[in-house]
Amino acid sequence: MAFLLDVLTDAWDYLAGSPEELLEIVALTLMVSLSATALAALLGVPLGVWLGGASFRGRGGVMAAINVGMGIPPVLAGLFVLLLLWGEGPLGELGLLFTPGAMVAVQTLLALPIAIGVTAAAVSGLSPATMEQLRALDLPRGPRTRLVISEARAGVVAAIAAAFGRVVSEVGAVLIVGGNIAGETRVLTTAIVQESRQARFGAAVALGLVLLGISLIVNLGLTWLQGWERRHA
Amino acid sequence: MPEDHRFADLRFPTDGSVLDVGEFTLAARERVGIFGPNGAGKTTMLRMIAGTMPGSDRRSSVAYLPQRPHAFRGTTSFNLDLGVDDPDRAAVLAERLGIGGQLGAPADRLSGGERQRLAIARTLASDRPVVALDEPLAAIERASRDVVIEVIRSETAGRALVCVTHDLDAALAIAETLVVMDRGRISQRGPAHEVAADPTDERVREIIGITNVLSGEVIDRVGAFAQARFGKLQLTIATSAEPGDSIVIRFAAATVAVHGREPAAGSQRNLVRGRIDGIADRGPMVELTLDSHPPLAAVVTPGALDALEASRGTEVWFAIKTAAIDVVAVR
Repeated sequence: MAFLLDVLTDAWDYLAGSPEELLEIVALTLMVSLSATALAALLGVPLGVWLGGASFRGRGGVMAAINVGMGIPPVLAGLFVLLLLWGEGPLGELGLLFTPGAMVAVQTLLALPIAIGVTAAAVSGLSPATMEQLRALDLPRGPRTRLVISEARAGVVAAIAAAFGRVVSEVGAVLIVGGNIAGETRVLTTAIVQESRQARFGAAVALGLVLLGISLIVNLGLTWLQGWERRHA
Repeated sequence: MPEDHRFADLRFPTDGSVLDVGEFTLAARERVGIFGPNGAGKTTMLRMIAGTMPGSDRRSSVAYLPQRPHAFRGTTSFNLDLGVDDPDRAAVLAERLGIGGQLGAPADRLSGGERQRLAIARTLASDRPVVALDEPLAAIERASRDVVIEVIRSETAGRALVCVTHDLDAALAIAETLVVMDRGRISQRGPAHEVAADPTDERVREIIGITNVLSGEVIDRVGAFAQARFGKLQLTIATSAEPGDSIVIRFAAATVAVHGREPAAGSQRNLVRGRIDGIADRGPMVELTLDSHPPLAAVVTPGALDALEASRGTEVWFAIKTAAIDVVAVR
């Protein structure tokens, strides 16, 4: 017990000192994960709306592929993007490897299937009467998509929350394409790995608590948004 | 001359087990009521005309009211304007349909009937040349019915209307042409009051019973009643219609009393003298047809027929109680 208490004391001391390094890590974590979530939502929610209401041959296959994508191991996504961005790789000339840009790219890739899949599930759960009324209105694509998002809003918020939850807690992909460079590409998860390996458990626990706090705040915010929607429906 | 609207290949699924109509044509200004029992394929046919079946393309010439209109999150006004080119026209229609005071209210607080009227106003406010309505009167309370029928008629004047209903009176009030559907096929099509008076389809005959439907004109008013002429018949009707109005009435053949001698004059009763032109078995009952113009039908028991000692050519009096006559439409 004395060991665990010492760790907690160290963690407190680390947080109380609020080193500049911690602020940088938190800022980069938020920037990378929120950017990736936003990109995935901008692309994935409209795609999910379309897929959820569409009927075409092969829709089942597309849905199955998206479900597989939702469960793809982050290290594999990291490896794939690493090969793409590697010096001699197809996108090597962009010079993105080991930059926050590469980290945003790989996390967008991880978040996209979740944004599409959860949105599509929510939209295909709308009542047949709602879908028939939508077809009856015969609206242009933009207004129609907005109306569907509004009807399936709880599901769309859940899709965005799930996408953010996946990328903010993920370590393998950002480690591979970011490289965990101090002051440049170090985020909370990779920093925790780093501190743990160097047996600096106080700092590791402190970073873990911050990560937990960010997750809680973002999810509470989204839950509040769902409740607000209900209160003002 | 505006062209007909042609809807080809109305068949679903491919074997036609739900709907097997083939081609359906609407004249540019024809108002058609589609009538038939539940499961006859009426809604499927309307959805195919509108192009809202899964995998099909929405037909842009058709304004379409689905069977169960859905109100989206937002105000009544927001819902009213969805997909509508002319919001002013939609607002006028909402006012006429009695929901003008609800425009600022959230649409999910509307009652079922109000939501239906909102959807009717939105559908009719479009300029599309064909209007397709699925059970527009289903959720409408009795008191608003005439107003809704009047709005539907005035707003579809000059374009084509196809209106699905399982309510014969609604079909007669809205449409001039009646299409009877059963088991996915069209079993009859013709002028509404003729088809309603003499459905060829046995199942439809069972549903609406043997009924007299007459179309005529009001010629005079006497107190609370109107005198109306239907062909060579003149009947007293309980209605507020004015002389010059067109009127459609309906009464069941079973409510017609048949007398072998001229009965003593009774109040609120119409008497029509004629000769029996046809006698047909209808299950346990017998249908008598009178050679009046237009012909009338009465349904009696075999015992009553024996008591009359009637056969083809016998002179009889048909007595129709004023209270038994439904006024289906006044125009």
